[in-house]
Amino acid sequence: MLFKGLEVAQTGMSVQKYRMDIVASNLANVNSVDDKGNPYRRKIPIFQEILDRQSSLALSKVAIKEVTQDNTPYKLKFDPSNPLADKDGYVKLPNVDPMREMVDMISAMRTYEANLTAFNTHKDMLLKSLEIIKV
Amino acid sequence: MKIDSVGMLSNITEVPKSRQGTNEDFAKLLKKFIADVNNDLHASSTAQEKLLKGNVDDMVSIMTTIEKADISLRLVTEIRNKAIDAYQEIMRMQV
Repeated sequence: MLFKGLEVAQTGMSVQKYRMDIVASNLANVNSVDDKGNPYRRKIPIFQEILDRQSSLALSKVAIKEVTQDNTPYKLKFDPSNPLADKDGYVKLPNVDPMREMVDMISAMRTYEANLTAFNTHKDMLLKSLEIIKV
Repeated sequence: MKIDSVGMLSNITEVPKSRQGTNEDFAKLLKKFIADVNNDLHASSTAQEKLLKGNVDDMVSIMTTIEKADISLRLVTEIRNKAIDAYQEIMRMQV
């Protein structure tokens, strides 16, 4: 009960770390195809609120519900010499936009920092409360 | 000025019995709490072992476990200090 706030902040941090991993995956595969020759699809994490039934307060933790795919069309590039080009000479490239991934990365980092600040503040408050009992 | 006779003392009501046994409860509570803290410390050392071996799946949860154990230990130490202070205060009493 004492550490609920810490646990909630911890789930926040874990989720943002996972989001960061997905951004890394999207950026790494900006030019990739899968084993069947289909371009990589951008992955999107879906966050889910999880109500903590153990606590007396209505606290919610957060978790990754699922990782979905971005179904927007692939980028087309005219490159007839490419072995993956279709009959008109166009190559399908993954629908990953590096700019967008960068923005996502910044957002993930800032949210992580916010959760970390919440964690540390909670910890400081607990330690400060211990000073009541001291002398 | 009217002074009541000593006999009036018999009217004093007894201290309710329900307050007895609180000492036992505190001892039990303290034991349970210490056991809890001990569990936290064990979890913390397991987490630290994991960290040292390098099989870390979630860094944040390890840090949280260690931090929880640290805060619990500090709290139990403070309670111990307070209890010992109280004991010494009583022992210093003039007889």
